[in-house]
Amino acid sequence: MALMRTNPWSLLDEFNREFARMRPGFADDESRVVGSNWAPAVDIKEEQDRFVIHADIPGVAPDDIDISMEKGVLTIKGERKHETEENKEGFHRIERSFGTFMRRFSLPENVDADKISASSKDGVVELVLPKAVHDNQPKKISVNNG
Amino acid sequence: MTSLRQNIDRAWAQVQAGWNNLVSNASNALTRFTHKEEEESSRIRELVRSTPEWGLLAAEVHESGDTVTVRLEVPGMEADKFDIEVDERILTVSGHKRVSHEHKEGRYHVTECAYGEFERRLPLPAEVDSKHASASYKRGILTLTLPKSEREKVRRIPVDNG
Repeated sequence: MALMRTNPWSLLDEFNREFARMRPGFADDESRVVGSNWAPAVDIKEEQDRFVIHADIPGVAPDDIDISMEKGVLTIKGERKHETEENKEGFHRIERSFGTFMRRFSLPENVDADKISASSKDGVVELVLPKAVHDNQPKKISVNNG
Repeated sequence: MTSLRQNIDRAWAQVQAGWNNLVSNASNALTRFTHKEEEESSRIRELVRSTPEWGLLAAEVHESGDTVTVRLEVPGMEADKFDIEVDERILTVSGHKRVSHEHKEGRYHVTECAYGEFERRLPLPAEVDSKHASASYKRGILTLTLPKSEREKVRRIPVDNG
């Protein structure tokens, strides 16, 4: 009997995940907030001294993106408006989503909220969240071997 | 009892309508991203391997009297790395979306963005003059302006009110 090497359901899972991402109402993840029209895909990376988040937010002006941090919860939200006011009758295909988007992430407490920075390039927003440096590290007390 | 049943039926119909709408919208935009092994550092290869093999490249096709305008959401590309072709009435946009931001060692908690080689084909509503087509890339949106070929242009014929 031949061994099945790939999981036949993984493709379906991926479809589901993509569908879920397009319509927040179907999402299984709390970070996509019901009530917004779409949710951007993100990569979240933890480095030694900071977290780096990349979010795909094509077609949104930096001024229309709002990033805030409250009680350890990071919120990225905003609105995508159409580039032009084209005649609605001329559309043959509309796959893009417009309107409000939002995602929320619970962050570890050790992020320094005052030092979060964000930049945007080619529709990708990069957020850098430096970890807070605590002075209350457990102190090591050595026993003198006197 | 009957009203409860009706409510359930109604709710189910709504779920189905939502699902159908979702599938028709998303299934077209869903594009395969092929992961290439040749490139870059082992760290980037490892990251790319963990990313989804499907990504959404949402498109929009608009037709006016003399132009077809196509917009495609492809964040994180370099403007000169797109390959765009028009053959008859099929537009093909392909490219390679690379990881451009991976410098330091770290651990990925979430990887939802797709990387790799992609190709998206879109049927055009009219024959276009590809020699006079133009393309621009801004904020992750690729915009193609394709003038219609002469015989497809809408000509308005004024009626003399003589």
